[in-house]
Amino acid sequence: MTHDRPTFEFPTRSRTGEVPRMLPVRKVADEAQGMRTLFFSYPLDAAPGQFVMLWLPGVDQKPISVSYQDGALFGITVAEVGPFTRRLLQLKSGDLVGVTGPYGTPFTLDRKRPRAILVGGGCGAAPLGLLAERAAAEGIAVDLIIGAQTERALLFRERFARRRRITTHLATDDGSVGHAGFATDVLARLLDGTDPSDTRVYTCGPEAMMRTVAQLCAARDVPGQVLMERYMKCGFGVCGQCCIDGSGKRVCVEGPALSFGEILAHAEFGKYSRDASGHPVRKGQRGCETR
Amino acid sequence: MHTLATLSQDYHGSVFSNPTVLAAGILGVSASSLANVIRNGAGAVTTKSVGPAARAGHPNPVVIATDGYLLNAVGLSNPGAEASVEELAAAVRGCSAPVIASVFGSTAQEFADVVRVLDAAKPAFFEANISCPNVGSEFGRPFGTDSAAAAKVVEEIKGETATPLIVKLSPNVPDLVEIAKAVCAAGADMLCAINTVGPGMLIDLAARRPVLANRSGGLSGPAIKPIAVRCVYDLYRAVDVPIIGTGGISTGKDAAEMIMAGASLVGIGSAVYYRGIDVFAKVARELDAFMQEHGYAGIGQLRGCAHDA
Ligand SMILES: Cc1cc2nc3c(=O)[nH]c(=O)nc-3n(C[C@H](O)[C@H](O)[C@H](O)COP(=O)(O)OP(=O)(O)OC[C@H]3O[C@@H](n4cnc5c(N)ncnc54)[C@H](O)[C@@H]3O)c2cc1C
Ligand SMILES: Cc1cc2nc3c(=O)[nH]c(=O)nc-3n(C[C@H](O)[C@H](O)[C@H](O)COP(=O)(O)O)c2cc1C
Ligand code: FES
Repeated sequence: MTHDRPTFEFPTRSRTGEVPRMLPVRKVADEAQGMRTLFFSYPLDAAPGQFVMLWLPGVDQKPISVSYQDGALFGITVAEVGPFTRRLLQLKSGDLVGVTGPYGTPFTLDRKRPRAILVGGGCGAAPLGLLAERAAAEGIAVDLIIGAQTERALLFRERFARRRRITTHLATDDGSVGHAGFATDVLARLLDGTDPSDTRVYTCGPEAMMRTVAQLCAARDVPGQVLMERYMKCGFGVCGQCCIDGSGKRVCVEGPALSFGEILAHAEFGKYSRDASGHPVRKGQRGCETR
Repeated sequence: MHTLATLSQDYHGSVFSNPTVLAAGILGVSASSLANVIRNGAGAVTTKSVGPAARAGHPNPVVIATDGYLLNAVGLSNPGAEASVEELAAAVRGCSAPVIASVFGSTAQEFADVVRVLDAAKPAFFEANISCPNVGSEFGRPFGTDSAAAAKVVEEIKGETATPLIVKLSPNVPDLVEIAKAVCAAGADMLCAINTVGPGMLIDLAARRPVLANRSGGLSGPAIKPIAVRCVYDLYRAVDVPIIGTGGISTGKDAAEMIMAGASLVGIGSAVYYRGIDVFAKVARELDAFMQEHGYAGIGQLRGCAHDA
C-alpha cells in the first residue's frame, strides 16, 4: 500500500493553526462605564460577528468579538464581569496577549436589502460596531439601536456621530437619555415604517432581548441574525462545550451568527446554557450581570 | 446516516452501520451534539467521560492544534454522574446509533458507582477511561499503568451491570499487552486503544511559558497514528475481544490501515478538526471506495490481514 501524504483541507483552522500568537497591546480607550477597547497592531482579517480567543498567560483564555478593524489595527471591546475580563481591562500599552482566530460564522450582509437595523444591548453591542462600519461601506443605510440601563453604560454613543449612512438611536431603562425603555421598543417603531423586503436585522446582547428581536422580526417576515454566546473551551469545534440543544450545532463554528428562524427552533434560546462542567443552567434576565 | 452494506457490523447486540466511532471527549457534552455527530455519519458515538462529581476542568487554553497534532488537557470536565443521567438517557433516546458512555473514577469503587447511576439510562456500552493522562495521579494513572488495578476496575464494574464494557487503554505504559490480557481475563468485552500519547508540551517563545494552562497535555491526531497502529497490532495478537482502534485516523485509508492491524471499529476524535464534523461520513465513504477498489467484500476480510504475512 502506498502511503500518500494526507491531501485533505483544513476546513476550520486559521492560518497559523490553533496556537496563540503573542501581540502587544497598542493602545487602550475607555468606551463606557466599565468598558474599554484594546487595540492591537495586526492585520486581522475578521468578518463582523467573528471572535478571537484571547490568552492571558497564567490567567485564562476566553472568546471576545472583534469590534474594530481597519487592516492595520484591530480592537476588542470588553466589559468587566469576572477575573479574566478584570485582568484584560488592567492591561496597558505594550503588554502581551495571545491571539488565535478569527473564528466562527460571521453576520452576512445582504446587498439587495438597502437597509440594516442593528440592535445592541448593554455590553453585548460590541461586535455591532464593526458590522455597522462594514454595512455602511457597502452602501447599506444603517440604524444602530443601542440600549443600556443608563446613559453612562451606552456603548458607541459617539463612534458613528459623523458617519454617513449610520444613524444611532439610544434607549435607556432609566430614561437618562434617548428613548426611556427597551431597545426593542425602538426596533418595533422602526419596523412599522419599513418595507420588510428592504430590511435585514442584526442583534447582539442579552438573550431575552435577542429573543424579542427575533420574534418581532419573524412575525413581520424580516430576516436577520442573532449573535450567540455560549461557554467556549476550544473555540474551534472539537470540545463540544458550546453546542446548542436541538440541532446540536457548535456556536463556535456554525455560529455565533445564527438566523432568526434557526435560533428560534432551539428550546434553550433565552432559557438556559451550559456551564464549564457542561451542566445546563437557567439564564438570568439580562446579559452582563449574569455573565 | 450512511449505511454502506460492506461496512456494517454487529457487536454485543448493537449494529454499527459503519466502523467510525466518535472518540470520548470530542463533541460529547450533550445529547443534541451526539445526535448531530451521527447525522454527520458516525457509526457510534462516545460521550465525554463522566465521573462521580461535577468538575469544571482546567482553565483555558485546554486544546492547541497544529498541522500534525493536537495537545489537550481539558481536565475531565463533566457535571457528575447524577446530573448526567438525564442527558445520557436523552442521548440514547435521540441517537439512531449505539451510544457508548465513557466513565472515570479515582478508585475502582468510584468507577462502579458511576456505572450504577448511569446504567438507568441504558447506554449500549460503558467505556472505562482508565487512561487519562491529564489529571495527575488522582485519576487514571494507577489503573492505566497497573494490570492488577485495571482488572479490579473491570471486576467492580462487571459486578454492577450487565451492559457490555469497553476498556480504554493508555499507550504510555511499558507493556500494553499485559494490561490488556488482565482486563480481558477480568471480563472486558472490548478494548479501545489508544488514549492520548505523552503527555507533551508546547512552550510559547514570546510568553516564555507552556501554552496549555495545565502546562502539559495528551498528544492526539495524525502524529500519533503510527503508535496507535502498533498498539492495535500488538493487541490483536494477544486478545480475542474486538478492538476500537483509535489515534490519528483522518481518512478512509487510515481506517483501512487500522483495521488491517486488527481493529474492528475505528475511533475518530482529532480529525473533526482536520476535516470537519462530517469526517465520519467522509472516512466511511473513503473506506468503502478503498474496499470496492481492492475487492474486499466486508470488514472481516480486512481485519487483521496485516498479520497474515
Ligand atoms: C463568541 C463570544 C463573543 C464574546 N464577545 C465578547 C466581547 O466582545 N466583549 C466582552 O466583554 N465579552 C465577550 N464575550 C463574553 C466573554 O467571553 C466573557 O465575559 C468572559 O469569558 C468572562 O470571563 P471572566 O473570567 O471575566 O468571568 P467569569 O466570572 O469567569 O464568568 C462570567 C460569565 O461569563 C461567561 N463566560 C465565562 N467564561 C466563558 C467562556 N470561556 N466562554 C463563554 N462565556 C464565558 C459565563 O456566562 C459566566 O457566567 C463573548 C463570548 C462569546 C462566547
Ligand atoms: C479535546 C480532547 C478531549 C479528550 N477527552 C477524552 C475523555 O474525556 N476521555 C477519554 O477517554 N479520552 C479523551 N480524549 C482522547 C480521545 O478519545 C482519543 O483517544 C485520542 O484523542 C486519540 O484519537 P484521535 O487522534 O482521533 O484524536 C480526548 C481527546 C481530545 C483531543
Ligand atoms: S468551544 Fe469547543 S466546540 Fe465550540
